[in-house]
Amino acid sequence: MGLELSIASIVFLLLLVPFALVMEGIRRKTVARMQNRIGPPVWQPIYDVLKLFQKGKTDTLAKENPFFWIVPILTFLSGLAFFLFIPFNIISFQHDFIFLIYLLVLESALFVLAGFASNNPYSTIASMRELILMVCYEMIFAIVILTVFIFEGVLSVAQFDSLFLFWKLPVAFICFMVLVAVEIRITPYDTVDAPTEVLESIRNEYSGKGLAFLKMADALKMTFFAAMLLYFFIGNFNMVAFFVLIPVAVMVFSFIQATTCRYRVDQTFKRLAFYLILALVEIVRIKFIVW
Amino acid sequence: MGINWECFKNFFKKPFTKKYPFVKAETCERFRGRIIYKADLCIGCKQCAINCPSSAIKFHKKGKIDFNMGECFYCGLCVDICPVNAIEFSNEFEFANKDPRELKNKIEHGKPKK
Repeated sequence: MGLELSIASIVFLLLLVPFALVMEGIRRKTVARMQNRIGPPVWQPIYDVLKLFQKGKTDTLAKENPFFWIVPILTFLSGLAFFLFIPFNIISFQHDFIFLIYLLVLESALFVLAGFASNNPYSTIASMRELILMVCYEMIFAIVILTVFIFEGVLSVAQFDSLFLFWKLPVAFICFMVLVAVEIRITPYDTVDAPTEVLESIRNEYSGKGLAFLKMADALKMTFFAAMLLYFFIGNFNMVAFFVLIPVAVMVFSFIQATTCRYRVDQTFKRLAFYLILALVEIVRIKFIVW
Repeated sequence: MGINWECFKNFFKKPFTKKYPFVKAETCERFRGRIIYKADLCIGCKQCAINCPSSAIKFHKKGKIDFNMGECFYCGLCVDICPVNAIEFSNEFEFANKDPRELKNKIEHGKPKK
């Protein structure tokens, strides 16, 4: 097990939060431009978070629940913990991709917990939806990650080094793109974050610091999925290319968000079941047919 | 698939939104904006003050009329009734002000005769 906490990595982790918030701003701006609007400035999420940190707590019944204020902080920290693996490999040990899968499950589980703790009917519905979705998509995610690692024959994220893997694993790549839409909750699969159905989903009762932490966790998760897409499927380039390509990947997600509309809950589950079969086909295929 | 191409095109086009306070909004033809009173044309028939439904017009004497734009609802009766076209609509529509006296009449073509 290697833990490389150099000054560079600490600076990287500190600068990551504003970077992720700018990525969120780029997403919002791109979606707005594709819908022929002007959209907020790119720095708007940073302004939002800075403003929210100055605000006090609202007087809800939910604040008596300790989970209500402790879960957003944990969600934010688990969002930061993703970046220990990609792109800098601050932590690396044998079979650490399993730990990565666990971290992603943890982030979603904390999201669910935040919804249940806020004691709001809409939040509860959103949490239930996320809980049922988690059963579907985390399994597909684990299979896709396993496919990638079995194909490469490595045991750690740090050893991973290959270019343009999406050409060799096309079905896994399609499954991964669908999973990105489910995980970062953008339109074709935003059953959890649907504003017309569950309002602000789990954030209904949150305000001030809790909401700021949840917003930062969401931005970090989106940036991490862009980073993971580049790291696993496009290639492990140097750092400069990485930070130039992350906004491009975010723009691709924005394009998906701008051009699609939401599936119903049952349609989402049917499609996820289909992608589960596809992912299983891919993991079987790489054992026998390789090109 | 048409929506994909449409969104892609929109990304490089200028946004539809107009930046209003910086770029002045264009008004249409026959726009009912602030009323302009031409004092040198007025013959003092008082028809405008009589016909005004909201009594926004106070007639003092020929060439001295108070238009209170805070009470006016732009029905256009005074403009229609004026026999010499001394009252007209202008294109000006942004007269929100801290001073209520700014809402009073705007006199063109010379000062009112006393």
